[in-house]
Amino acid sequence: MKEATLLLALLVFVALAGLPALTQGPQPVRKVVYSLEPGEKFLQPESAISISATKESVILVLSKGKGDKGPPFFVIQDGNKKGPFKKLKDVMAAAYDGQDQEPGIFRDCAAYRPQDEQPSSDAVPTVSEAGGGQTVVFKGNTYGPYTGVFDVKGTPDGSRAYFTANDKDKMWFICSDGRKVQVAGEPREILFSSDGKNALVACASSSENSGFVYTIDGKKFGPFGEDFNECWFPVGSNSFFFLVGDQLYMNGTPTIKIERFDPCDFYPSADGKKYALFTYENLVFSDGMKYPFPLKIVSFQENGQTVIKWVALENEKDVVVYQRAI
Amino acid sequence: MKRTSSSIRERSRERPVVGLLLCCLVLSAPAAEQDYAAIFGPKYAEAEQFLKRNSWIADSLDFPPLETGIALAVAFPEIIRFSVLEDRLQMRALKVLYVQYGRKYADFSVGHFQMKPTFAEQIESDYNRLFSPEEKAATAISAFATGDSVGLRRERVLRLDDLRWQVRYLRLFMMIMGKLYEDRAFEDDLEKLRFYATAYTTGYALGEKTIRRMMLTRHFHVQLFFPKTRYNYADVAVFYFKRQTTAAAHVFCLADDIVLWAAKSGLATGVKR
Repeated sequence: MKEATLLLALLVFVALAGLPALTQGPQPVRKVVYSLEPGEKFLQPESAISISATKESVILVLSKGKGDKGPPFFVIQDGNKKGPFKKLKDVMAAAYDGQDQEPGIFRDCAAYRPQDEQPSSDAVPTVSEAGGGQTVVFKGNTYGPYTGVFDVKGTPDGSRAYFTANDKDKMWFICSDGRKVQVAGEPREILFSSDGKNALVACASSSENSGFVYTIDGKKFGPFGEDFNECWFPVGSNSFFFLVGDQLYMNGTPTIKIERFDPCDFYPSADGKKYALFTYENLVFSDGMKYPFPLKIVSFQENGQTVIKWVALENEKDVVVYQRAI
Repeated sequence: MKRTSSSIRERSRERPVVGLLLCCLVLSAPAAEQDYAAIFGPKYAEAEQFLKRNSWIADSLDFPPLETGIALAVAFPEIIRFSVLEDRLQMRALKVLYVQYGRKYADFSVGHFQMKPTFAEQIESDYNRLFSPEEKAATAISAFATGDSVGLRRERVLRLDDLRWQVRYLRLFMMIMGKLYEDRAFEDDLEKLRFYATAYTTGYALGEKTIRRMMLTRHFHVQLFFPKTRYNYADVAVFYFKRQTTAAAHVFCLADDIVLWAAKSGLATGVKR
């Protein structure tokens, strides 16, 4: 009996030990793009750090001076070193001027948050008082009057305005392109996708502790209770996500169970069933693989797959770029 | 008497007296040399609104009004700066570098009060060292875990990401300053505020001599990079403090006038202060 128990325990152990191998996803491609020389550090001006990554390129700005503020400054672009530069202005210009890349110092968030991108001044929707009500004026067109206008948003490309308004005891979610959806409850902030074509609004029911999500195309999801968490559009995606408790929804359909997280740190696959999640210690993939201390993460689509590329500093000197599909 | 949090609570009862003092002192105080509300414009107003909107911050500090006013003024210039930067800067990599390798690889300012991990480390260490278990119990903040591991640094970064914890760190900063400089005689509350504000922005562990020297320097700015003009941090703190206390003093004075008028008119019955 004792031997049988031991054998069973051994079998369970072998089975469990083999499990990670079975669930292990694709191995990442690893490449050391630069090794910091003694005294070199990532430039950290004003509590920002200058590392940028795109599908094609990785750019670092380094300082080799006193502390982390330099000079001299250097640019490392895809392993090639430029410099030294004496002035911060010059090194930043050398790193980013004339290139279609983010300056590297601004936040990176996997959720689309367009606050920093403003449409041109002639494409900013405005609210005006009119005859005891309110109208929305956008690119020369007037919408309304309504009893009251709630949230108003213009897409950064200036193509569309979205707003919520009530009119004769009915609440509406309206797009300047003609789409109009009746909603119920108290509308919260309007969210739209990075191409501006898809949008949604969550509405809280005043009578019950519940709410619904309405899309501009007329779909309605809910009711959801207090465990409903924020909605978001990932950067570069027309799909929207929200969490209800530990259940993740993509375009209103349940996908996977996951603990609560910051949408800024969540990189979903195109079908929403796989993901990569950033923590301060690891980049965690939904297949269980963990990669330590990712400094910069970027995701893109390639051959029908969502690919994650990230930069890490290993052995206190090696700048390593990894890449793998989710 | 040592300035423990229990004694601070007792001092809360002095509120009307403090109010009257402010009423007399602040209204007669000279105007600030520079109008920082105009200089920083909407960002100043946003920072002011932030504190008004989040009145829980003042409540959570759990100090009497004067100390609360000083604490908020100490942090106020950083709130202006945060309202300029919001969370636009790429902090993630710095946080990761700090968690991975520690303070020698990254030290950065985070959140509304623009606190650095090294500031939090210092606060935690001094709080553990300077406060008795009874004082810690009264403060309702447990001793911090000691050491310098990835796990502890990660926990610290998560605390700094949390505004409620930033308020707790600000509270501990005020309490630690109270302990460290208990015997210092400040000319007045404004000089104390200048000293505290400079210590907050430059590092209170630098010592009194350095802090006093730094009180004269201009390092504060609200540009992302390449600032054209820099300001004295303590000046901005004092400007905010004066504006707040002047406004409060007007209210106190008005309330006193009403009480006085009510007493004279025989309407004082039931009026409680």
